[in-house]
Amino acid sequence: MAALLHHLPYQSMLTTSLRISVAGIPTKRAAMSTCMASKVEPPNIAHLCEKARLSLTPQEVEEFEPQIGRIVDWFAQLQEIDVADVAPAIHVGDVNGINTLRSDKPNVFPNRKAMMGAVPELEGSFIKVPKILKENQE
Amino acid sequence: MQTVMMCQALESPNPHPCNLLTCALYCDLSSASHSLFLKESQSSSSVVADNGLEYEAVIGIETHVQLGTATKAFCSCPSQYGAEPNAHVCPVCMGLPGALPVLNDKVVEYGVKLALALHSEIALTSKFDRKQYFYPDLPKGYQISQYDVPIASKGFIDVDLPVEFGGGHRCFGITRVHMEEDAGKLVHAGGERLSGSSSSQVDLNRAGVPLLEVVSEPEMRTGLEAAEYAAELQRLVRYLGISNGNMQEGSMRCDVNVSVRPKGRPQFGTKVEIKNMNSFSAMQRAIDFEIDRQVTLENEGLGHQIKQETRLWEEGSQRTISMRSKEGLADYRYFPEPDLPEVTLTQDYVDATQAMLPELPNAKRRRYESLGLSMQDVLVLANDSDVAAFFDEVIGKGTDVKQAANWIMGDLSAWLKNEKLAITETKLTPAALAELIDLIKDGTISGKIGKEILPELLQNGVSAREAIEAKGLSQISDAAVIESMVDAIIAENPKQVAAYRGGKTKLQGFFVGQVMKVSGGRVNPALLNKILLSKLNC
Repeated sequence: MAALLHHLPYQSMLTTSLRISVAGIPTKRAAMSTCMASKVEPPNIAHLCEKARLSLTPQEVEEFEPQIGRIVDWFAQLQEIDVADVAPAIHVGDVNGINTLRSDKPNVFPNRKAMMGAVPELEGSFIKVPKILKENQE
Repeated sequence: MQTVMMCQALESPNPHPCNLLTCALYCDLSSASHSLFLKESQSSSSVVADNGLEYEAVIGIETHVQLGTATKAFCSCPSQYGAEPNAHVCPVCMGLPGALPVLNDKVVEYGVKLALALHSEIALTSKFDRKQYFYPDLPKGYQISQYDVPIASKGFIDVDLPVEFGGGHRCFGITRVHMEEDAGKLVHAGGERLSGSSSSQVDLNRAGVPLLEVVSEPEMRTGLEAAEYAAELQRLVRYLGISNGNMQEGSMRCDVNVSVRPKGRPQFGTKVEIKNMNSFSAMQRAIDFEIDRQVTLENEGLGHQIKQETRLWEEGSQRTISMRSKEGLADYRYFPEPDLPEVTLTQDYVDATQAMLPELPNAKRRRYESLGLSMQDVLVLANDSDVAAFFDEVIGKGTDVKQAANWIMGDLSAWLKNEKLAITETKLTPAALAELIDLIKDGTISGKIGKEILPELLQNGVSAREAIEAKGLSQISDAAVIESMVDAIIAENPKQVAAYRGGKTKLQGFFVGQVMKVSGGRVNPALLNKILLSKLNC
């Protein structure tokens, strides 16, 4: 969701006038009214869980699916905005005039010991991990 | 723009960007070379199956170039090869919570340099994205890469095929160039078998090292073209000084996609990815094997057995073997990297970088060709930018081009190879070599003596003149002196003289040898022969 927020030009965020319940989840009534807008497909929960390595019980899937659907619908209101004359913002948050690059000078991190100390299992100076032969597991 | 002659390349219906640009630059070339620029002729290499049907291979290459920067892409950890495992790590490259990436300005500089060298369009604004997947060598669970707005696109690369394989010029399109970070190194204890150890080891020194990914258009048609494309890319990154492009070390990695189709059919065949090639020759052999495998299957009506998959090149058995099936396209759930601002370049920055580029390999080859050198010589001299620079300095002193080329490619190269040194590591200066060549030219010493004293120049950095004086090796060209030597030899060898005058003219060589022995090889050979013949034949 955070990523989606970064896509929104700041002004248009202010024009949304949906009443949101205290918990932050849009009310069912409000969500229904936007269903007619150009539909953004909600994610396939099972597929998403597999990709993100999350395990949900079938009960949780049943519970979360409609809630996620409503959140997607709430964001889908953005589809109604006519952006034909708006240049795509590649990334909101570009810092005007301030150099955001780092010079190529080495700097050894001072507390390597603490980081390596936090590694669950070491084998010599290697990090020990379970053997997974399949490359690029998504 | 030169319009010396009507160029066939421009007349073709879809002029390739290479054709237009290179045509403007090289219109002086013969029409034979010109026809090679035609895209059509580039795909003239087809594979003929046993039943006579012609197939065409379609090859595309994805290359990852590890940049030789001092630090990693997004943190200040030293980027060094061969250090103790996990010595160069920090919260950013280890993917620890709260750490934020900051882009290394050298990565941008190197990216722009390569993009310009590949004649591509530079995106003045580009962004980073997260490529998400899980694997033990990927600490963050995603790789910071560039997905839909890369730093460069739509370029091309000029390649000259080696003379011993038929020669020829090729121009291959480059789809895109983008910046990304490398993953760590995964070591499987107990080999790749499922039995054996159940654990692996991870070294994160490499995690976060900057990479440039170069994707080619699928325009190569043979293993040779693919290998030469890769070699030229290596030459380019070395010329630019952005990477050592070493395939064996892993600082340049090529993944190849191969498919075949009956000649003339527009649709592509099933694409197969090949990995694990550690050298250009391995690439060539792997691709040729794979083309053969696919054509054989297609031709036997078993084309459906060609699966879209990744195959590994097995160097031992010289074949590709199936690794696993590529189940459709991967879903990396790309989204823009929220922790990094867009990469903004000014046109001034790009122009300034362009002005700083060295003479690139292709331009150098064309210049050497115009000096009158053979293609064979051109390819050798222009291969290494240090050798080319040395050569340029020598001829810059007015030395004969062919002589300079021969000395550098012959004796100098042999000595360097023997001593395992680079041309920049010897004490011989271009000026010294120029002097040596000139001294031979004006007759002060013979070519043979020149070869003898060269090691001295290489090892001790003395000048040719110093070496000649020290050893008293200057060529004897005084006719009177030579005459007296010849007279002495003739007096000492009456039998051979009689034999020669009796018809055994081959004995001339014997007399030459004797004079050379006595004089320590210093007599001017041409003069010697003249004087000798006149004395023997009187």
